[in-house]
Amino acid sequence: MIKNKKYYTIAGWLAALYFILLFLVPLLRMFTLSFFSEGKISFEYYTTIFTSPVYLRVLYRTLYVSFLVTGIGLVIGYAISYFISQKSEKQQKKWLILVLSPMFMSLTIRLFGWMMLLGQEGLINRVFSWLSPGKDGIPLLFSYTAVAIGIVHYCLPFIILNIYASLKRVDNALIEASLMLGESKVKTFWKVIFPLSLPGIFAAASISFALSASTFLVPLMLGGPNNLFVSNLAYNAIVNMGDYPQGAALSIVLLFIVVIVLSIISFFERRSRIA
Amino acid sequence: MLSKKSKLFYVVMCFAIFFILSPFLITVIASVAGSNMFHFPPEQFTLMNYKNLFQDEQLWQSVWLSFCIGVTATLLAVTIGITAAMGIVKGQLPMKNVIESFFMGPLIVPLVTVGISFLVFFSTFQAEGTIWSIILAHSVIISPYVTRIACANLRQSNEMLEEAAMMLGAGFWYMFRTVLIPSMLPSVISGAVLSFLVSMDEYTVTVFLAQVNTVTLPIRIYQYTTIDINPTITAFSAMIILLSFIGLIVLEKVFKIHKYMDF
Repeated sequence: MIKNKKYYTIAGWLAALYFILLFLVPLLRMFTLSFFSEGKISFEYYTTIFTSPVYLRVLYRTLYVSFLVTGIGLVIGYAISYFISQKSEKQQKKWLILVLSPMFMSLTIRLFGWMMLLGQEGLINRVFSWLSPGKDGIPLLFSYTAVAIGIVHYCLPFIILNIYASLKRVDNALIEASLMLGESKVKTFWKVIFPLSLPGIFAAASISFALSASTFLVPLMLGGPNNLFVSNLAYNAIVNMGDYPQGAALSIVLLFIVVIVLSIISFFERRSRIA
Repeated sequence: MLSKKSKLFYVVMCFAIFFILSPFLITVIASVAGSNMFHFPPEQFTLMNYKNLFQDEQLWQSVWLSFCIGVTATLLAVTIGITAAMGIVKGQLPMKNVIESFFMGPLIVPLVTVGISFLVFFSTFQAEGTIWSIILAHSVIISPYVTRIACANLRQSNEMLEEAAMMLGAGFWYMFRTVLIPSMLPSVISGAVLSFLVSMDEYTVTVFLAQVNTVTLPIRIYQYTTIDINPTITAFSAMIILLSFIGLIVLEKVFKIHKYMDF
């Protein structure tokens, strides 16, 4: 079917052309913009980022919170996925729909719900002050705890999806063999099930890190002005100060951070596969 | 009988489910509260918010705008997804792996980076803030959801059908319409539904492009919850949450969507 191949190739090139025009060209334009200052090539905007204490603090916060929530999300997500994978087929579907439902809901609405929960007079603070009377509740909203909670809630469905898929792929015969040969349940988990679910954990870690590091809406709504992430700084530079090149440079630094961390994770993934 | 350990596991799971569903529960409660929405527990219950909701023209304008953007962008994304998959799976493109990850790019590049690049790009044509700039931007960022599922579908498809059609004298275009598209349809539709939902909820890229007359729904919700606080939004959110849950259950019953949940 040589003739068909030609049509398929043309179709592919058309789609690629669309993407080059509307994805690659804008990215490259922004990239060049961040390297020009007053008509000359300069690294001014990048040196600003890596020397100013304000920018460095935000960079550090973005990385720290992203690693933290990825860790927390993996533990919670693994527990939930393991629990679901132990259920009967029919039960599994119901649990999955329940646990993954937030993915189909608007993120803005979800974060609005968290704003109401975490606020000074919100439910969580009420419970705290009821548990320890006399003390004023801790204002959770507009702290980085609130941002961390929001991001965990945002990433959890993606983590569960990946880990659950890898747990489903574990061959039941291997688990039965291990139990039959006299290993305890706990040891079977650590020696058989856990190592076989590693690919799912790596996939979940990459998607969770990528989502957390580049999140924009969560720090904006739950973090307040003192807990901004790199993405919010880039927005402020452009929209509030009109400093396009600085915003472009910040967002490119963010892109490189995400790409570097994802490559490190995939490096470990490949090593674990060989081992 | 449950052992002690699995009972403990159940309790932990209940906490986890509560954590996952708590923002939805609080929104539904707040929607019927008569007092300040950030105050818990509510002092009285009323349906005021629901009554105001249907008189809030600004909000419904944003809903309509987001719907139009979502539909157009999804149609564009489906076209991109199908043609891209045809080229990647069946065509002769150089460096297919690189091109395939290129089409997945919008999922990896942070949305802020994409948003700024669109702002820079469209401002050279003085087109930032127009409805078309938002549609084109959305079409790019939602297309990976269609492309991925269309590629997976074409890789599994039976080439014999296509050859049989051609052998029996069908032209490429006729075969495309009667064999290829119908066989791709179910998976493309699920990809399209997903990308429509992403477009309806897209904030980060849109906020760079939106202007006073192109305030999409997520931006409106953000304004109502943080800048000019308007309790009507609790009723709207509660309605969306209930509709989404009903929609989810119906989709699961009819289409078994948990099979497609592989993002």
